[in-house]
Amino acid sequence: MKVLVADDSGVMRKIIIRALNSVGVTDTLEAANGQEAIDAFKANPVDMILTDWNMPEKSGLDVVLEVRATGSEIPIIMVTTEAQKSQVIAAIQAGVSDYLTKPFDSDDLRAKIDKFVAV
Amino acid sequence: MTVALATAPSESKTHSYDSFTETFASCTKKVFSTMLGWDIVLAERAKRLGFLSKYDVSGIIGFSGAVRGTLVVSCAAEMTYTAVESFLGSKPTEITDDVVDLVGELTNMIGGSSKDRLGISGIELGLPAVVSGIGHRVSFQPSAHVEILHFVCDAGPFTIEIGFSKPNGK
Repeated sequence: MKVLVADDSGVMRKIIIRALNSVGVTDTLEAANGQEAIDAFKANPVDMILTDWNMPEKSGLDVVLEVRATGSEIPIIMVTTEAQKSQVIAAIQAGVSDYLTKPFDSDDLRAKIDKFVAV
Repeated sequence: MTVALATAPSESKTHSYDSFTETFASCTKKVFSTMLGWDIVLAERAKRLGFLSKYDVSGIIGFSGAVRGTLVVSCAAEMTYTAVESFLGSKPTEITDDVVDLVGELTNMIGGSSKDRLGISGIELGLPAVVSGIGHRVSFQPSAHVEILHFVCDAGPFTIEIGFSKPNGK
C-alpha cells in the first residue's frame, strides 16, 4: 500500500515515515504543504493519508475536504497538536477517519493505522 | 501569587503560577518521553530576576486570549544534535535545518499539550519560531512574570521559560 504523509515539518514527516516503516508500510509519498498533498493525491493512487492540521498553502482540513470531494473514501488520519473539541468535530464532519494528537509514539500511530490497514 | 484570567466575570478563575508551571513541566516530560524516548529530570526551578541563560537553539511560541505569555524552549546545540540523530540516524555537527525543525516541533508540542492540559477555554497558541545562534540569550519584558525550568538528560541540558503577562492592573 501507498501512504501519503503531509506535514510542513520535515522532521515530523521522517518520524511518521519511520513509524510507518515499523509496521511494514514502506511505499510512502511526502508533501510539505496542503497544496502539495492535494496534487500528490490526484497524481498518485494512494491508499491512506496522514496529514498535519496547520500547513502552508492549504491546511489539513482543506486536504480532507478536497479529497472527499472527489468521492474517495480512503482513510485519512489527522496528526496534530490541536486537540480542541470544536476542531475535532470539524475534522470528523469533513471526513477525517481518525485523529492522532502529538506527542505520540510509534505504538500510538501503529494502533491507528492497524484499524484501517491489513499489512 | 495568583493569576487572574482575562475571562468574563462569570467564568473567572484564579490559577497559581505554580500550577501553570507544573503543567508545562509535566507536558515537557511527556513530549520528550513519547517522541524521543528520553527520561528528563527537572533539575532546578528559578525566577527570571537575576538569572541569565545562554543557549544555542531556542523555540519560541506565544499564547494569548484567556492567558497571555510566551513559552521558550532553549537547548544546547549538542543536545539537539543527539535528538536529530535519534530520528534521522545521522548526527549533525552544526545547527542545520533539521535541528531548527526539531526544536520548533518540540516547542509546538510542549505548548499545544500544555494548553490542552490546562483545560482553560480561550487560550490561543501562535506559530512557533526558532532562533539559532551559539550563546544567544532570550529576554522577556521586565513586567513579565517569568518561570524557568532547568532540565537535564543524558544528551545535555535545556531550559523551558514561561513568561506570563500580568493581568491589567494586577
